[in-house]
Amino acid sequence: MSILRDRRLNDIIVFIIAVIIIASYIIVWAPLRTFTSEASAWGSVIAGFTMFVGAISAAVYHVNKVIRREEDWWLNAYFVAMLFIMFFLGIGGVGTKQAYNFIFTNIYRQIGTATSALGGLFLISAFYRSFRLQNIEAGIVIVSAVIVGFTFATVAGSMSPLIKPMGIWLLTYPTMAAMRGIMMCIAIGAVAISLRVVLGMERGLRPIEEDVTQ
Amino acid sequence: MDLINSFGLWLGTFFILAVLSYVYKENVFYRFGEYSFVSISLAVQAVSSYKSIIGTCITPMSVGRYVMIIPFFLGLALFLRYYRKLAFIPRWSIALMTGVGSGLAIRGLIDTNFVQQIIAAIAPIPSLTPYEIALNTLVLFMTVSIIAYFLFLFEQRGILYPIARIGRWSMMIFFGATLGSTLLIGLPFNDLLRRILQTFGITL
Amino acid sequence: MSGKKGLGAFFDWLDKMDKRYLYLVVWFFVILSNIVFLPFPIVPSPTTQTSINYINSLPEGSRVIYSCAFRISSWWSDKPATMLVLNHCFMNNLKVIMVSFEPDGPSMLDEALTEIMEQWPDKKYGEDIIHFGFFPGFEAAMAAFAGDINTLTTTDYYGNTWKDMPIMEGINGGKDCQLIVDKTWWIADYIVRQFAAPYGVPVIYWGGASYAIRALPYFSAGLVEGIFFGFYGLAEYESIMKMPGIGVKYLNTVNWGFLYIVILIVLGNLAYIHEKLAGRGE
Repeated sequence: MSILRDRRLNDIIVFIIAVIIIASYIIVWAPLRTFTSEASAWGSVIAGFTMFVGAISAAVYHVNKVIRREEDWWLNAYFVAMLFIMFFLGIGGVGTKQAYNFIFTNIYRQIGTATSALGGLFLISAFYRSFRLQNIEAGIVIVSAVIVGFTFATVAGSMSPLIKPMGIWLLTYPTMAAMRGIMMCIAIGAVAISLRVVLGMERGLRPIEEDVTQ
Repeated sequence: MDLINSFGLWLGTFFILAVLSYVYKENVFYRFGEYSFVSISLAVQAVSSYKSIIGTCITPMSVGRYVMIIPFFLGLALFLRYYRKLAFIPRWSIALMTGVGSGLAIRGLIDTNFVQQIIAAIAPIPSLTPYEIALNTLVLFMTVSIIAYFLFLFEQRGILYPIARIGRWSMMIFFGATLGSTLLIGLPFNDLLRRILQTFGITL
Repeated sequence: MSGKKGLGAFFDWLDKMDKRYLYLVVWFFVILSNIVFLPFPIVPSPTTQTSINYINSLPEGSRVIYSCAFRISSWWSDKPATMLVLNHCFMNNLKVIMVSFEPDGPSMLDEALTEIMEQWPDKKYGEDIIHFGFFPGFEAAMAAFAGDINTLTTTDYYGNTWKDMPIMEGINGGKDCQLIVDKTWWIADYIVRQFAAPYGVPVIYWGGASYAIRALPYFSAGLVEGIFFGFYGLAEYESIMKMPGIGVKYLNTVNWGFLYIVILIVLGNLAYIHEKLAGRGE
């Protein structure tokens, strides 16, 4: 039983699965590729359950707030009610589909659009306050931003036939080259971190030690 | 049906205005909209997950793919995190997901973000016009200069310093281009405006 | 503050002004954009043209995966994009396999599917189009879908056995398809890593404009066949296909919004330069 509780068992699971998946890319052998597809499918199933855990954790959190009658507890009660109503409407089948779609289209979609609009608004004051030619780097950012903006905004393209080709050139060569360099550096870092995870060296990903010896 | 559609329009408009009222100041209507959004979002996720679990686990098991019982129980085991004595079992599920995620990330990253990019950067030039030679040299130099900028193994001095500086400037071009492409601030408002006007029977 | 006159006072006032007035001006420009039109021609980007040419080059009967990973907040622009891709595929007699890797996706794809079947009554579900629904796990789900759909599911979104359907004849996974159009809110890395790199499936990436810029190295390296730059890509696509919709309509708002931003940047820099010169003068 102590073997099952041993943390090293988790490290072994991670290592074996990761190594086989990496090997399936290099070694073209059908059983390896089948294992990769199968393991990925299992990962997908477990990911589905994690969404449930998330929803239940949120419900428990808000129910606790209602029980303790904290400030605006009615909002927490509304949250839990809406969560359960929407969930049961969603899994209810054909009979409840219309009600589910009604809430999805008229509430969820509209709030989603409004929230994304709100996010864009806060860029406005940033454009005024932060886009200042304080040094060479800031100047390069602003010039590059304006040129690319001109590329996409058709009004600017009509001012001169050179603007769009200039913008496309900027995107195709300097921007692409810069992104390539950044991408390669990120890849090195990501591979290093992933290797640490695979080899069990990444302590940050371990769950907080629980009193599992009891 | 018209009544339901009309009610839906008014409801949507109410929530739009509730969320946008945050611009003035945070208020109870905004919080009401926020809580609605988060709760519905979680419910939609749970519904989608429920349907996907039926489709990926239950239905295959009913037609003979009994091996799916293992991820099904590993997924159910995640709920054991609330029970201390068996809290070690969900770690296996997490370990499986971590192994899959790490393996998939590494196997693809090295090829697509490294090897293929190096090949593309130093690939032979199709046409030997001086302009294209200069352009490809510029692209290669910029890529190398950015990599040089991220070299922290030793101090950036001597020849490395100006190259790293050029790398920094190259990155600024990219950040500026990214920023320049996010000039869509008015667009969601256009959609919201049309929706609000539609509520009052005005079509643009 | 006292003693500042003319421009100095103006910039001072601008600095101290409540920023909420700036937000209000956005509404002014949005309303203006619906009244005053700046009808300038849309010049398609090379990447947009390349993407459309690639879809046009596919032989009839080719399977195209339409991978959806967008969220409800962008459905107002993603729906027209989805309808455009589906219409384009049906015009070329291509078969479409729809799949979602975001939980919001299935309902939205269901809505698009209902509409497209009304527009194309001769097309049949199961023969010309199929909807697989949502698979959680993002990259893991993509890897499983690309390798072998059998490992992931035996049914489509509506509970029908997909193996029995004519559209899936000879298809075991995404690797057997001729193209994947990835309409997503996120970066191209995942779809390239799981479809293009291991199996060589051609990818057309359609993300937000800022993420599409990050996909340019993949385009240059040949891992991605084409890129649509977010909303601009939609406008260009509609323009080339001669199917004007909200992409073309809302481009006017982009123009007015862009002018507003340029005004803000210019004002901000004028204030900064004025401050610097005033500081040196003292």
